[in-house]
Amino acid sequence: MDKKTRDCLFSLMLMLFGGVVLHQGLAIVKRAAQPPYRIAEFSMSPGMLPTVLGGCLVFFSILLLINTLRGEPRKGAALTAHLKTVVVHIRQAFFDADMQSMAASVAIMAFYTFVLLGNIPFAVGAAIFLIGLMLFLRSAKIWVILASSGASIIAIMLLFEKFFKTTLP
Amino acid sequence: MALQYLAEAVITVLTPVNLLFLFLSTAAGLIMGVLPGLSATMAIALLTGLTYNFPTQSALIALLGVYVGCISGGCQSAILLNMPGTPASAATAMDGHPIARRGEGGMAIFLATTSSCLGTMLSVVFVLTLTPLLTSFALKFRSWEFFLLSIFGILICGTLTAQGNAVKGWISGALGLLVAMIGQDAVDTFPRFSYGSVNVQAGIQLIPVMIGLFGFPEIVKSFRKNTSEEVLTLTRFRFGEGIRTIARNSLAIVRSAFIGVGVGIIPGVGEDVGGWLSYWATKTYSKDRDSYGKGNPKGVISAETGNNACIGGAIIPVLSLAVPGSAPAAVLLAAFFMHGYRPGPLLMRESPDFVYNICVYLLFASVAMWVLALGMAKLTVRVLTVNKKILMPVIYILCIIGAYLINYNLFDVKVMFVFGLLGLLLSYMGVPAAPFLLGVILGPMCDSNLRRALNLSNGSFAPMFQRPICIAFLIVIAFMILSQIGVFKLLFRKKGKETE
Repeated sequence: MDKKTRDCLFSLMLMLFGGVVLHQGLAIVKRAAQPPYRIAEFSMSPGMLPTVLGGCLVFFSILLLINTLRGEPRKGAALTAHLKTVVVHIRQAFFDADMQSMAASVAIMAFYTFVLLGNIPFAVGAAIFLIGLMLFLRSAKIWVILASSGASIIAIMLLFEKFFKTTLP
Repeated sequence: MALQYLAEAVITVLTPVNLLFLFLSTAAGLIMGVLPGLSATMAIALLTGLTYNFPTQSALIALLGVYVGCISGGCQSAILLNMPGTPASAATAMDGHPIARRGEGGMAIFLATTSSCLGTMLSVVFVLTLTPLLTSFALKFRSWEFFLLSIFGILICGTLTAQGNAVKGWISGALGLLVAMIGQDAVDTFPRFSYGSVNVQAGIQLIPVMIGLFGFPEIVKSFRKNTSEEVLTLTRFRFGEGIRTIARNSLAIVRSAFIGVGVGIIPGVGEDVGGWLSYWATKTYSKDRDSYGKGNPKGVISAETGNNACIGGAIIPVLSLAVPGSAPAAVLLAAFFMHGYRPGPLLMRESPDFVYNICVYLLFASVAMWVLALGMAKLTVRVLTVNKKILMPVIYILCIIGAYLINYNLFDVKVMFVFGLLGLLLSYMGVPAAPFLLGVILGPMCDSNLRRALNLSNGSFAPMFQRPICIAFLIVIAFMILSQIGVFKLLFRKKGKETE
């Protein structure tokens, strides 16, 4: 995806997000005006800065979109072309080896962070994660993976639990 | 009094335990700096979490050691691999790699390491002289000034780090500010964006955000299928010849140190800009400009002096204004707060010894870096051959531990992961992460000072326009925004057409 298309996609995403922030900011202003806070003045409300930031995000995203479409004779057609490129790029990303590798690695990292961590002992979780990820990435021969994972976990546990006297998750 | 503080700091750093921490952390920084993808910001963020339980002075020594080590270590991979270990060493690769290609890699590393050491040492002089001056000036600041200072910091950081598209930098800063709004506000304890979650109500911790933003994307990017680099070998060099080359280029060193410190003082602008500007200045003033990019030692010397001088430069606003001069300095600021210090205008009154401690630690760290970088060069260079697909999963575990140890709370680990995904998205979209981080750091200062000022003025913005420092800030901010969105270009074009 070229820089202009990326900027176009980012500005559209940001416009949407800025709108949500603006709405939520105004909701904070409304809630702060009610008891027990009773802050009716907008400029003194805790929702003022979030609302302003939401507005800024929308304004900046419009500026970015204008920059992206600058120099194009037909703005609407250029915007459609950028969006079509995004769709094509997303389709291509599914078959790209680098993207597949990174996406699957993130999934393994997410599984470790949200599922394994805190539910099973640290050493077991870390071993499952390290060996699983390295095997998936085909980092090295299996015995190298096992040895490096084991050595890393032992080193980390010794360093933090014995030397720094901290508790690991 | 200053001499007494300096002597006490020297005594502190010379205790066996602190010396051990200094050398270990500097070595760790060097290794992290050598490895492309592990940035100084990530290294300090990681170490901040890991040194949370350390005695304060030992933790500070370790953090400064890793900072200096990381910024300096990046030159080794830049020279031998043509791939900067940290963005700070990008300019070093321009001439460093051609020198290594003609079989003088050892000499290039010696020049780079010595210049790095000199750059840090020279910047310490500026920290000692400029910090008290800036601190006494900052005592005139009240709520409105602090609010505008934080806005100015985020805007200038966004402008200078966004590589030609300032709007993207400002967006990043605004997003960071927004993250800082999450949780109970400082004035009325009103919960914002917390949606009933107790964890979110307590606010988003800075360290998990930093580790996520800077560490996570680098880890994930290293999981690409095809990553292979050719590493050049380290060659022997003559020490005397190296020293003579350094002495011959003393003017370039001093000029680069000035530039580096100047760039470092600007909020959020990092060591990479310092390196590039110093390189550019040396090239501009040189008689043989054509030799740059083809292995001119002056290029290596100026780039490395410039990026390391940024360390001291970036610390000056941290100490005097509590506004970080670069992304790694931002992490350092958070670490100072964590260890009970309150950098800012009152620092010289509350903890007058702190500035001197930092200066002495920086000096010792630069010496330790020089000794280690040259002594361990053969070893650190071997780190480049380590398989990243084995190393990075282990680094991820360290990131998790770093995020967890702040509060012993798994929620922070999840925050780190979420901000890691955001960092990945920002990196893909070409949006700089430094203004985001600055937004998160300066957010509380921006919000609380604005609200306090408005409460005192019954919601009126009028006092902001009646204070001289505020007016100066407003003019600079307005000029920066208008120039970046092309208003001046438009005006001049119209004027030009009228005169035609």
